[in-house]
Amino acid sequence: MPRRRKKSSPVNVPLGQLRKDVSGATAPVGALSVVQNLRPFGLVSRRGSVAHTPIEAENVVLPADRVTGTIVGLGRQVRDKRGIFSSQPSSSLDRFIIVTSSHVYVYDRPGDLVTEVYAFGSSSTDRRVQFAQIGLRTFLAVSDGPEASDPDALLMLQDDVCLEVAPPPPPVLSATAVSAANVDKLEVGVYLFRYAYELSDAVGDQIADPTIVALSRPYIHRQTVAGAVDFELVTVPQLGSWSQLIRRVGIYMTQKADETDTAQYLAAVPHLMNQPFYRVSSIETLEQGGSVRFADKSEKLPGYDALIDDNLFSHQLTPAAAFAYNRRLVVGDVSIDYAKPEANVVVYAGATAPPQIEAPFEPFVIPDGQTDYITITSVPDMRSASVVMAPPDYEYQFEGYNGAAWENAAAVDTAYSDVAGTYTQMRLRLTNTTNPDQAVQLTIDAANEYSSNQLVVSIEVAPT
Amino acid sequence: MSWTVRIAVELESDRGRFLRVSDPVPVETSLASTLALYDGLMAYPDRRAVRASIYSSDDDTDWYLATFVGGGAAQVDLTASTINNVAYATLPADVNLTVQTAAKLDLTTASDRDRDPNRVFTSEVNKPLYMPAGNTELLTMDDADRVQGFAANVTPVGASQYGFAPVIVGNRKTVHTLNVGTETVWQGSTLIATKGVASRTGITNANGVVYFISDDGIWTIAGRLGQLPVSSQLQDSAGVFEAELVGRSLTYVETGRGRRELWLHGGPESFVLSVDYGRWFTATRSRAELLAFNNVLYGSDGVRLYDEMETLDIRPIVLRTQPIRFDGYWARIEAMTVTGSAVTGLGFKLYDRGTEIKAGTIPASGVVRLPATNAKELEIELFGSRAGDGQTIDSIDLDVYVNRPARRRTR
Repeated sequence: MPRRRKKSSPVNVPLGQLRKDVSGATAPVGALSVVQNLRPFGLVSRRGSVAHTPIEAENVVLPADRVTGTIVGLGRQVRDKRGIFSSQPSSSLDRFIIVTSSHVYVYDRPGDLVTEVYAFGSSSTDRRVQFAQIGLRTFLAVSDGPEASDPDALLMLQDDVCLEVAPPPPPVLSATAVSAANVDKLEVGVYLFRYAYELSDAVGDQIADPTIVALSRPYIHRQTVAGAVDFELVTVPQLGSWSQLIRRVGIYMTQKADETDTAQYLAAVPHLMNQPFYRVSSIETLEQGGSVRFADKSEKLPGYDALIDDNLFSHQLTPAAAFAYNRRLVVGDVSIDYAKPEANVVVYAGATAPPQIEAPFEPFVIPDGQTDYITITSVPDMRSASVVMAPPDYEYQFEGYNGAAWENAAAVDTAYSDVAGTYTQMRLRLTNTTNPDQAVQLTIDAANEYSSNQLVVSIEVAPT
Repeated sequence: MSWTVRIAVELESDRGRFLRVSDPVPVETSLASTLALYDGLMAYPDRRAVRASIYSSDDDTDWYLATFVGGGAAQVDLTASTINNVAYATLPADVNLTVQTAAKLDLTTASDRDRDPNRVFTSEVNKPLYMPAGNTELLTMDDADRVQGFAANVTPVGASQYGFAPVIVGNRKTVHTLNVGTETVWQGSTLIATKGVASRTGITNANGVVYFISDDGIWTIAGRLGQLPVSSQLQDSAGVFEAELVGRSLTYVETGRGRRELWLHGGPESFVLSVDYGRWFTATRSRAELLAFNNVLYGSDGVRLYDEMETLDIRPIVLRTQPIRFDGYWARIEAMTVTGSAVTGLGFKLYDRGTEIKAGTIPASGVVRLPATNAKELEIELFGSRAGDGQTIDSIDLDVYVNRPARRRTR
């Protein structure tokens, strides 16, 4: 075939396009197969050029021995001020969040200060982390293992506090009807009440309604006298870091049902369950004995804020993916650990109804020189009971039982409170040394009993 | 004898029935010869609960369904409140703990943990711990199409503020958008039905554009409904790179010196996409984790954290083109002109179909005469050391004679 030589023509080879996805046959002119220590340079409008990129220095900012485990995630904690959970007055407002296979740290670069804020239960280099910052709080959605593995944890970091977002156990609350002087407001009837922790959830300087967590199930309150109702914290569980986030315990109550018949009060439950709950009060002191009195007419309850009880965080949500979007937390691929049922059981001796403890207790006799025991059982939760013994010159001693301690076990005629948080017993040992053949009069005042009658008293005779 | 009691609640979500069991509660049988359990009200704080059962055990190991006084299993159906998130029942009778049925509580199969891989939950504004039950959206019906990550395809106007732009939800097989329709109604729609996000850290926003790793490459979502391949199958010659895309990470970094880069990292090699150029480069070193922090790029090799501040250390460069074809014909390369700053002294090698055919250095003029140099598939390699940052190689120009067949003259 005849050929002819064309005159020389220029071929421009624009640089900068690394293409590993095409073979030589289809690569555009100028596509590169190898680029080392060069980066694109110049304006977009230029066809392309590359610039020498000197090797970055081996500036080790954080040596391996400063943190435990393998670094699996890097994030930022950006604050506009040091919050109330800041334990380091000179810490930076913009800090690293370093997630390793076993821990979470915040790293203050200017101060070169590494602070451990969380430890995972186990170490895994397969952990992956997604960060989402809402106001002053940064959320860490942690997954573990291969791509399809279960979410591992949702952590919340604020200042130097990092905790797992899992609702804490609810406190135990009692409601007691009282008729105080000049207070004749809350009518006799059957009510339902619930309670929950309220967080001060304003983020940054934004004003927001408090978030409620660990909302209890409804409880029955029978208002037996017109007047007021006292709500008292019988126990508060160990809250850990949550104690810093919780502001108060909110009390929510329905309007009354008129059923006053003790035997029939349960009949009012279906009606009450379909009534809204209103936030009637709150207990500000988060400790045993913290209480509040509520006194208002039932008909005025709709004037209080209604409870919105559809927060999914009553269960434990653990996502693998998290994102901050317009000040909302958005999560996906979620594992839901449903709330445990409250095993609020009452165990009693008998077959038909819980005993109503009435004073005085049946007198009994302890022979001279012998020892008997009175067992007072608090089931299942805490309450206080007053014990008065006569004659007073018996030798007596209070003992813990089943490992549970009762407060103030040194004196009689004092309120005794179960502080163990579970079903416990107090055993009162009585030794007769001075008044043989004289009856012991024992009075037990169960005034501060729980929402239903749950105090059990029995006598056991133990060998001396 | 010591007894324990557990309450079991069955809950019906849209993914099946789940059993949630309370912790054991000890009861002391020494109090009386007969024990009973009483709670006038059984309630659970979720209206999806459908049944509650009371189990008892005398060995704290095996729990059996207790019975009501008067007979019958201690089990009640729960009624959902019409306006409260509660399911409840009043117990019809007391419960004998010590009189049990044969029904054993099977804790090994009790599944109290529900997994919702393809549903998105959103909190209320400024209340990240308040996630109303209505603020959810089921994106797909395929459990394997789980949510991998989120992004928004606009540049945020503030801290996580994206205005009316929707959330882009990257699932494993698909990509969706999620809009706030009204204050409480979230509306999801499928944006891409044929591609998904192949890694939990494989979707990100880079300068207002969403990039994600899929099984077949790295893609970008331009605007709301388009998609554009950034690099379909960044595949090396051995063909192993494609598989390694799964599980790798995409991180956008914006540092000083005007660098806006998207890093593909988390594997043996890191690649850098210049956002301004839309071009990929190999990184000088691979990084497991990356973070741009106050105009400095930080990286981790797994156990240490480095800053990536550039220094003036001298490091050889290597640049090699893909084969340049001349329409399939032989070409005679007359000259090669390399333009840029301080290209003098760079070494060069020319290859034809993989075989080195010429080598030398770039003279001060930048023009290399190449007598008797013929090639059909020309690869140009430049290498050597540079003196400092900012020195560039702008382009390579070739003077070539191409031997083409003469066109047949026709009348």
